[in-house]
Amino acid sequence: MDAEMQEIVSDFVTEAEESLDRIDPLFVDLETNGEDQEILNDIFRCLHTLKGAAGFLGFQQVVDVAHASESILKKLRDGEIGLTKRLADVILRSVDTLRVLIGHVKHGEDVLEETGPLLAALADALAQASGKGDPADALPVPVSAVVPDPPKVASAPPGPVPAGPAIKGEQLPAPAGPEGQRGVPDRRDALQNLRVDIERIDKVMDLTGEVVLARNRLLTLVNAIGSRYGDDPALENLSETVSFLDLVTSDMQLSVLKMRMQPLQKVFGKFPRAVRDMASTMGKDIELKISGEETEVDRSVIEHIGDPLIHIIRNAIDHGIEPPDVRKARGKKERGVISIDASQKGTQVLIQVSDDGRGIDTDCVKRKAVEKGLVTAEDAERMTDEAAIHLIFQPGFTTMDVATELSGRGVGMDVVQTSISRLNGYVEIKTRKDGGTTFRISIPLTLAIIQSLMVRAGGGQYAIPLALVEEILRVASKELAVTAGQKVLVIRDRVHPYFELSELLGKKSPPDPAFRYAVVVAVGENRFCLGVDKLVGEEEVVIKPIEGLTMESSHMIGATITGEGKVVLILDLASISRNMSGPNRT
Amino acid sequence: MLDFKAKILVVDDFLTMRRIVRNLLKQLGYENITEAEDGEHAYVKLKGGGFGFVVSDWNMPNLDGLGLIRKVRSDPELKDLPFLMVTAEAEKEKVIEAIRAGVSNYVVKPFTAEVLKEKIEKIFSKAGK
Repeated sequence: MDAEMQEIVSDFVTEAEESLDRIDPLFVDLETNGEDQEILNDIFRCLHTLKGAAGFLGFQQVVDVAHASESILKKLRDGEIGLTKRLADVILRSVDTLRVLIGHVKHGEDVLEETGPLLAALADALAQASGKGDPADALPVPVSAVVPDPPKVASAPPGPVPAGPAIKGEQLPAPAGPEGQRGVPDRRDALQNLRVDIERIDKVMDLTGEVVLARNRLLTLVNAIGSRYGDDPALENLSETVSFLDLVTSDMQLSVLKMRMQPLQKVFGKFPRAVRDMASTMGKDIELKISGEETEVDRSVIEHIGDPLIHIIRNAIDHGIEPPDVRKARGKKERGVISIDASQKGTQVLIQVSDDGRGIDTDCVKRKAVEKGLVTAEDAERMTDEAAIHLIFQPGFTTMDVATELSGRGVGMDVVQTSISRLNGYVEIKTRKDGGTTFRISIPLTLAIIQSLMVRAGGGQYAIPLALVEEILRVASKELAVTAGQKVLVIRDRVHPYFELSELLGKKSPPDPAFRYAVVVAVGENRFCLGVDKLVGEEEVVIKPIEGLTMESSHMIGATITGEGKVVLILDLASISRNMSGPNRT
Repeated sequence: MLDFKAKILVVDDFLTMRRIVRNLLKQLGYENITEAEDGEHAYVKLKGGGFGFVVSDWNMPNLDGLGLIRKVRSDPELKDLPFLMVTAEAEKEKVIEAIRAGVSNYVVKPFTAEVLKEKIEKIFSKAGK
């Protein structure tokens, strides 16, 4: 596909998604206001136009589904049939299917959906609504047979010159529809929305980041000047102005972030269909419960969260939920439940995927990991269940023959871990034998700007993402205990592993000072302390990627420039946490 | 034949369709292409002058293709403007209506650059006579 075509297809996807998104609310309108010709025509036009463009681009399945529902809309619009709930349901179903199909186009997936049942349902609904029981009058089935076939049209003889009778010469593709109503005012609030190239928004985002950095620097300078020339009356004005700039910058940052935010519905909307399909393939009976789909996240999260979630869902269906007869034998409801819930927790978005299946058998996971050489038998022995479950995230670990009914794709869960890490998030798993499994995914709302705690350790300055910092303690060195070769700190009767940040980063350990600062970090359920030399303060930092640095091995998610104009590395707490709870710890 | 430098107006409410048609025209060698999103906008642009050819969709909000061709044909300045109507499914009565209204030709979508070329050739061989 050449660049031009690719651009056209990407435009098509955007426009098609917009068209489809308009249909749901229009249907709500219809139901509250009764049948309205204008609205019906509007819905008709959405489907009609979508079909037209899809035809050009060769997306036959889109054409088929759009055509079938368009035929119903046409009859509704022309008053030949009345709107029933069944018709509305089936049309909405086709809208959902169209979304799925457009999604495939969007992601360049060359997959076909099973549209047969839907097309049949559309035909049935129309036949029933027509009430005549006359199949010839109803929606033609199979639809694909009557949709103009591109090559056929392409080879059609040239159209007639402007003279009535000559029209017979034109090869007319089968069923036809009146081409539109005239003089219907546009219901679209065309002026309320502006289509902006994402690159432009990203540019604004980038510049905002720079402004944030400059603001931070100004704040530092004003403080420094303030301590030196505190009596100067001009300083008050300067401080005021900088405070104002501070506020405005924060607002601006938030506004830009919001420009990029989209509801998770965009991703979750694909799941019902996906779950239904996978469940039927694997012979499972599954109910999908979705909540919190209105939670908004950054566009880049929307783009990258779909695949790992689908992966988790597929695993839940494949390995988690038992077949109906097994469930019955275990005294569970035959129908399994997968729930997906999203919510915002401070600056993080929490997405939970739970199933009520058989849970993950940690002993089995350990055995498999030993077999695959991912851990030694001794390590596996010592490993807590919690740590063992995380073995499934190891590259090379496949759940093949761990549970029954296996997909055999050999795709490991490590892709889930990797995808989530790329979003600066982390995954946790909770599982109970026969009680099901829950994946908790936590992702920062924004990927670009975070609150951080600046610390010094081993002679360098580092930024720690503040969202994951629970508390900071000043501890005397003698409070640190050592168990099984691991330094620990007991905080309120709870034992926390303690690590010197400098050692983690491969620098030499600090000389034994009288006291240390212990930054208590919680990555999900995993809590640990990082020992640092000095606390510098809180700062809002803009994450800049570092080229040429392997983020995973370096425990860094990027770098930033501080108020003092220094380049500082930002710690990747999730990666540190993985490393210490994972099997590779020595 | 239509001059490759001729100013062409592509009318469609769907951006993707405008791009597709533009792309097909480009493949045929036409570069001077302007777009309009419905009949009303199209009419305003046509009144601005200089257009040698119109490719218009039928089903559009505000003023549809049929409305546009009627308006164009009843306008002394534009009445001879070559006009190609793009239709989704050819239905006889409808197409006849369009032809009566004065379209130079029509084309059923989806169509290829080759079909578009034939249609244009037809229109302009006739116009040239």
